[in-house]
Amino acid sequence: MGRVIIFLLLSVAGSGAGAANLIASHTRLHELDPGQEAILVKALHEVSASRVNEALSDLRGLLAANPGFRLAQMVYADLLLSRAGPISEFGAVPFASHRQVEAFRDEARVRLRHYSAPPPADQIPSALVMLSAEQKYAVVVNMTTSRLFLYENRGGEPYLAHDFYATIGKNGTGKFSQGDQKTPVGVYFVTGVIEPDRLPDFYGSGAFPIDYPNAWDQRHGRTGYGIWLHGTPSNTFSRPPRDSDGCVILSNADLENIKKYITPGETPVILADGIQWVSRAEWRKQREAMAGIVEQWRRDWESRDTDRYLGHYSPAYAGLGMDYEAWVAYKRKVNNGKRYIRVALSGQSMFLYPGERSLLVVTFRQDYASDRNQRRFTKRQYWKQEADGRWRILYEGSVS
Amino acid sequence: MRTLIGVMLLFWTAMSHGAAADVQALIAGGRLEEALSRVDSDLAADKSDVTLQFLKGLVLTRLNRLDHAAEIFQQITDEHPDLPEPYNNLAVVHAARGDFEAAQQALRKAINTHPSYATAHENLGDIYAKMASQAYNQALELDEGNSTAKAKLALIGDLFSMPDPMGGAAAATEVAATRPRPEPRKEAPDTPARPEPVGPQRPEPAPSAPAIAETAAVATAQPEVMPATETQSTDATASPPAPSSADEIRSAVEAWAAAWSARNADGYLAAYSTEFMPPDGATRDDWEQARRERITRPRYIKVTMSGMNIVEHGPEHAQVNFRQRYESDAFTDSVRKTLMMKRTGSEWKIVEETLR
Repeated sequence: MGRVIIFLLLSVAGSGAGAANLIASHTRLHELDPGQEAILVKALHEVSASRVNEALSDLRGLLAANPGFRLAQMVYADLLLSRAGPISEFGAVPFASHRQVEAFRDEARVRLRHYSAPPPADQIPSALVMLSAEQKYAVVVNMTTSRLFLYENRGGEPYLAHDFYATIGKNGTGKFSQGDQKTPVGVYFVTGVIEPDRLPDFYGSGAFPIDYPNAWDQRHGRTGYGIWLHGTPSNTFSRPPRDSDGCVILSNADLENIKKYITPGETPVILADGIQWVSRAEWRKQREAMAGIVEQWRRDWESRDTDRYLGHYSPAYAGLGMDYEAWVAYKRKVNNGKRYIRVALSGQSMFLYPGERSLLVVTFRQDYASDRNQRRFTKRQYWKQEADGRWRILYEGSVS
Repeated sequence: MRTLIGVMLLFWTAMSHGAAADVQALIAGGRLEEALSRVDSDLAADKSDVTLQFLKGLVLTRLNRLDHAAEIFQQITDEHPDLPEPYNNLAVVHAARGDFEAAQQALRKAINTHPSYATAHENLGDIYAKMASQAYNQALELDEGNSTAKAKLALIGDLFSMPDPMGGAAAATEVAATRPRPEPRKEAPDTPARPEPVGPQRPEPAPSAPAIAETAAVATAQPEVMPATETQSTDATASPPAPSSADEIRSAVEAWAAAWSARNADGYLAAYSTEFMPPDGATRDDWEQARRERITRPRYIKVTMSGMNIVEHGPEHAQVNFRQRYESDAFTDSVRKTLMMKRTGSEWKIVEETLR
């Protein structure tokens, strides 16, 4: 009898059909309620303390507003069952498959973990070395904890503005080839925005493609394409922590929320397997040190001392279709006999590449002028700290 | 953490069981070791006395000698499988040891003997909640302290006899584990031998209203051993007869009802001790706010009491039973209520409030 009732409840609430559901999902798209996860976490703590009645009442409220919150649906059904008989496990309800239960449990765990062990206060992911003035916000995803952090650039320094539960690839991280259902690890930039009316419902309230595979990925022969940040289908509040084909997925409400902070062509998206946190003081030191390295390169270029300039390039360099040898020969030729070189850099940003030891992605607008020619474009460089401790350029190219 | 497990008392033989009454009195006075040696020596004379066996189990439970208590209750259930109370108490002991599976089985047996046994149903619900909690803590690596490791007992050593073996001599109550143990109490003589059916949740019966539906703090009063009343009860409980404070207690309770009737929330709330634990795990502030709202919202409230019976347990504690009739423009009901009162300075305050 009890089970019958639960089935009925779920089939009404969970199927995504029906007017009430449509209204609820519509409301969800247009109303930001960051407290939903907090309510779930509160309810789970109530269960932990055997306060099942309180948990049920919190979940009822949560589900009335978010019928597509399937994890909450399952917990609710479990607790209803537990009123009539003993339940011996998370996901005791008969309708959930083992795989679904595992996925729900993982989602519950990562959501809970964020509350029990929030990121350290006023510490900054070391990957965010420097933001340009155009980069008002930066996105950092800790894929290990399924959390997306949105940093605001205030006077050149990052401050945590929001954080959200996020889903990544079914097979985890470290994308290598097309179809491997992994999410890449690296420094990426949002390349565009796709509005929901141009997308199937599957992508929810919109999508932001990123520039995977970037120059570093291509250098390593990584393939695949179409890595996006996007939302969830209208009947689904959230997806399990590892459920995408490689994209990063937020709830529709959360995606709506970050829309206004994202600037295509500017906003960095750091996808990482973990975050190294540094204090603000350490962060400032790191920024100065890194800025100094690039500045020395600029000066040495202006000095027209080709050996000093080429000293900034690694023997492993490859860029603009040239390997190191070709690059050196080319530079020696073009720099020879110039009377002056003027290089101005602006709009500089720098990010440490997650998953790599001491790899720095530097982007800037470069104004170059010599007595022979003049060019202006946006350049991206990959700097690597080599065995002798010196940072050298492995790659440089223009950003289209 | 709140604990909702009560311990039943059972006397279905020996209307005037002198030995049992003495042990009762010792328990009531908190003299547990003495109670234990007394019950042991009485049992030496008559091993088969199930009332004494039951009391022994109770004393051992209160002494936290749970393994031994479990043995005793197990033995009683083996010999008297038709009685629900020993099963219930066995479940309480199992739960206190963290063995919810065994607790659950014992409660199911209690219910099988008496399908309408409300206390066992309630306890079973609590065990299910504990089991759900345990399952979730394990799956999600949650840990609220060690709250779910064991269901701590809050023993209420209600001692009273019942002449009717089928009378469901129930005295369960909900008590927080952190709360000082209420003194044992004697039940009133003017109450029915059977528990009143617990109704559906009522909009505004009493402060412990939610407890009715959720936890049913059942405290079924039983007639005294003797047809006579208070004089006997004081004899049975307090060794040195203390001067009676019955008049003070009565006027404290009347003041409480009067403040309620006058919709004077401050006066009403002032009647509760700082030790009073709001029902259902609510915080004091939330409870006060809810009460304030309930008391001030109706246009009129009339609370009348009848059949008041006061049983003092020593100079500082008393139990007051009465029938409470509540009437307002929105709602009317009549319930049996038990207030546990404690002397705080010169005043008597409510430390516990149960409905049945």
